[in-house]
Amino acid sequence: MRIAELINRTTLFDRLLLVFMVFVTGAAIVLVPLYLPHGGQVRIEVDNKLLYKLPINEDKTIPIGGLVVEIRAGKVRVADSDCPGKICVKQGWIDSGAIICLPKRVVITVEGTAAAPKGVDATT
Amino acid sequence: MQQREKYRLALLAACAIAMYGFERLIPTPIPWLRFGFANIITLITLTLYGFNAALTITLIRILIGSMLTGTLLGPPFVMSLVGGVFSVAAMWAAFRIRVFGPLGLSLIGAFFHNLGQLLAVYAVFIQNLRSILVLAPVILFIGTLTGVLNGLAVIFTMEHLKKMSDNVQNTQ
Repeated sequence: MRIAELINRTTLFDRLLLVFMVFVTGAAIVLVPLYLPHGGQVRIEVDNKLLYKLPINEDKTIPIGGLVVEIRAGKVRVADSDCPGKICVKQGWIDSGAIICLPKRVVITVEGTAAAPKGVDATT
Repeated sequence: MQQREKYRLALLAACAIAMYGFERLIPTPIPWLRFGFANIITLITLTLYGFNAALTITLIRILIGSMLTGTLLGPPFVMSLVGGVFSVAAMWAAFRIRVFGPLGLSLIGAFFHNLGQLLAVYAVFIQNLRSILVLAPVILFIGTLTGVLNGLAVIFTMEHLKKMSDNVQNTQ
């Protein structure tokens, strides 16, 4: 099938929706990281309860249930887990955002110490 | 239900399970990246045989798929279930308003699948909205990408099916 034929198979609304989705995705990719605090504190929650709050620049290894959380050189990762999927381990090192382990209900988030998000201010 | 219909649903469900199994073999750089190839079958079923048929094969696929991968009743199962039902319902609603082709329906299906999964995660497992929103860009990106890929696959498949049925009618 040729490209022109392929385009004929899509409706106007298909194309509008695609443009809209690409735009929203692009906006989210650019904007969300700006609002994520980098560095600062590592929060470790289990079952929606805060278990640890640790500074990210202090190297440490903490076992929680079947998980091993490692903090090193301003980054955090799940070094090992006894869950079958190991999605949290595959995610690797992060210095912003979150690692979520569903089977263990563990959420590791990185919080900034400063209240204002980096990179955005009133003048720009 | 007619015997013929049962066979057809069983065949389509088998196709969807095969797609599901096949995509698990593809290594992906991001752990959450799933192509959702089974949605190709769901969307074709929805277009040709309607909502009930599409919902039936989605439920069969999720149930048998999770038995095969050993995640029955675990978190991935709950996520697939809610995501699958959301996506079929949304695609049906979009199909009924008759302005979208396969590409648009596939994008809508992918988006609502992800939305359903996130709602399931929030409701059942983790009440931490911020850490879920952190994933939003990745999920939107994957949803749009796989939505386009699957939508194109549906266009090609429907075209092929049409040609085949034309041939059958011509030879008779």
